[in-house]
Amino acid sequence: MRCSEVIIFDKVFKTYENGFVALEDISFHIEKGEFVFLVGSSAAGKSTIIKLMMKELDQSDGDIFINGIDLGDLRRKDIPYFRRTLGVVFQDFRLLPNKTAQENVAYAMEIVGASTREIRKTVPNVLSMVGLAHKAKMYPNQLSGGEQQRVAIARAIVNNPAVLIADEPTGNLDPDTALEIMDIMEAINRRGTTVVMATHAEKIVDNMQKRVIVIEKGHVAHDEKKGGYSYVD
Amino acid sequence: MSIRMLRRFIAEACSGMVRNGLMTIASLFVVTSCLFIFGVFMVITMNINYIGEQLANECQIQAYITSEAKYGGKIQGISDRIKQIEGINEVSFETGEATFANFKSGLSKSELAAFEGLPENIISDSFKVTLTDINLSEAVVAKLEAIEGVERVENKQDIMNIVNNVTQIIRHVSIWIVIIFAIISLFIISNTIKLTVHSRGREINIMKYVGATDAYIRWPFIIEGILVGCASAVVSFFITQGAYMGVLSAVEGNTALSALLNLRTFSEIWNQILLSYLLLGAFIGAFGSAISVRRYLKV
Ligand SMILES: Nc1ncnc2c1ncn2[C@@H]1O[C@H](COP(=O)(O)OP(=O)(O)OP(=O)(O)O)[C@@H](O)[C@H]1O
Ligand SMILES: [Mg+2]
Repeated sequence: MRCSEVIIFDKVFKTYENGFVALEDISFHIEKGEFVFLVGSSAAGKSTIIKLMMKELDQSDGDIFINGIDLGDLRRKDIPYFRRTLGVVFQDFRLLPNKTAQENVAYAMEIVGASTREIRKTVPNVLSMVGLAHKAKMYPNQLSGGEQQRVAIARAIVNNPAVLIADEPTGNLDPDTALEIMDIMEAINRRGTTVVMATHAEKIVDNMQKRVIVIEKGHVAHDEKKGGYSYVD
Repeated sequence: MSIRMLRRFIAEACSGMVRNGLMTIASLFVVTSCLFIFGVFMVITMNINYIGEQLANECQIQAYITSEAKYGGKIQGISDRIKQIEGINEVSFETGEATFANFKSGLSKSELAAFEGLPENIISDSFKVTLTDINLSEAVVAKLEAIEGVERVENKQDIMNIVNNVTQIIRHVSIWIVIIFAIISLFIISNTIKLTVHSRGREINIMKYVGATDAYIRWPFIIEGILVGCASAVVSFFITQGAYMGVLSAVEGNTALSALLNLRTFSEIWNQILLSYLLLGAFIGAFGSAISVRRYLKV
């Protein structure tokens, strides 16, 4: 394993409890600082890969390394500490409904034991990075979808994770808002954070000319350095 | 756990309570009612024990001594040995003459005629003994009979047995009621808490995705449970006080009842009630929260 490779899938299989084989022999390497799209038709297995990456699911066979951690060996009680090395963003935002935007971001720092002073200093910075400083005191239900996703991204990156994983982060947003979110994702990537994003958004994938891994029926169908969405059947 | 963490947990617990206000009030209500019903049985048990003690004091055992002991100067020795028996409350000496006179004072003139001409010392001298606990009467009688110089022991055994049995039964019944009720309330309460936690199951999931440890998620809920439990204990305590005062004044207002029932005053029992409520409330709250949070932590 070269140390520049932050994500390694090596002959990974995933069979769900009901016997359904969702992934078969998935292998790819992602290097530090890469921006990778995970595309493929519905039910291809993209979310399954994302869930394996964040150890929400265990692989049935094969090896997964994230930031040098062997997920097959990870003990249950170490999962929270592993997840702190990742930033995760979901289609449905997953903000804590009873906390304001800044409290949601602060929560991610609180759990790692950051001091109140650090939190006060960092949270406004990150919120202004995603362009939401002026709505810091709003609750999620007072924010638009795009704004909620900005908060979620701010929360995901506030602890400076090496990897940002996103499962259809623009899935619930209109095209313009989606582009704004993509600008933020790209800015985060430029800072050196590796980004893996599962998506259906053809235009975005075509425009950005980043690496594209196409999943079809649980297999890697294509893996293009500078790809477009056209590889999806 | 550092002070900073503790402060965060408490802040988290408080904001959780406020932001889930309706659920907090619901569980407060349930825990309060359960504690109150538990308290009713606790107070009944305490008073039954108290009444039992009073009866024990009234039920005397009389140990008559032989004339050899009387004239052999052994009375002091016997008295000392009686005082060493476990469960003895008070010991008093009574001469046979006094016992006889006492007996005769309770008779009518015609009945008295039957005892005319009997010598005054026809009854032996005796020790009158009261007990700290009527349950001990049989053991005490046996020990008294074993003392040298004791002729026979008279024990109002039938009365004692009845009193004994009744208090025993009531005691057992109320202890069982308390236990069964504690279990039922634990069940009701943990279900209520389960509901409050359930409404926050998604929240717990999100916390796990962000990388919070189980302990970090659990603590605010446990603290919240303890706070709700203690608040319920206090509310329930005041309700109990009101109800108990009401019962006391009702008993006092009724001459027949107040002659029969001598109950504990509230100032004698308030500390025990408050303490049990607080302990039980805090325990139920903490335990209920911990159990309910558990199933949402498996993400
Ligand atoms: N818990 C589960 N148990 C059984 N089968 C599952 C489970 N979760 C997902 N699957 C199946 O695995 C396959 C891949 O699902 P996955 O969610 O990874 O697809 P996806 O590529 O993310 O699709 P979409 O683009 O629609 O989100 C699907 O056929 C799905 O039905
Ligand atoms: Mg999906």
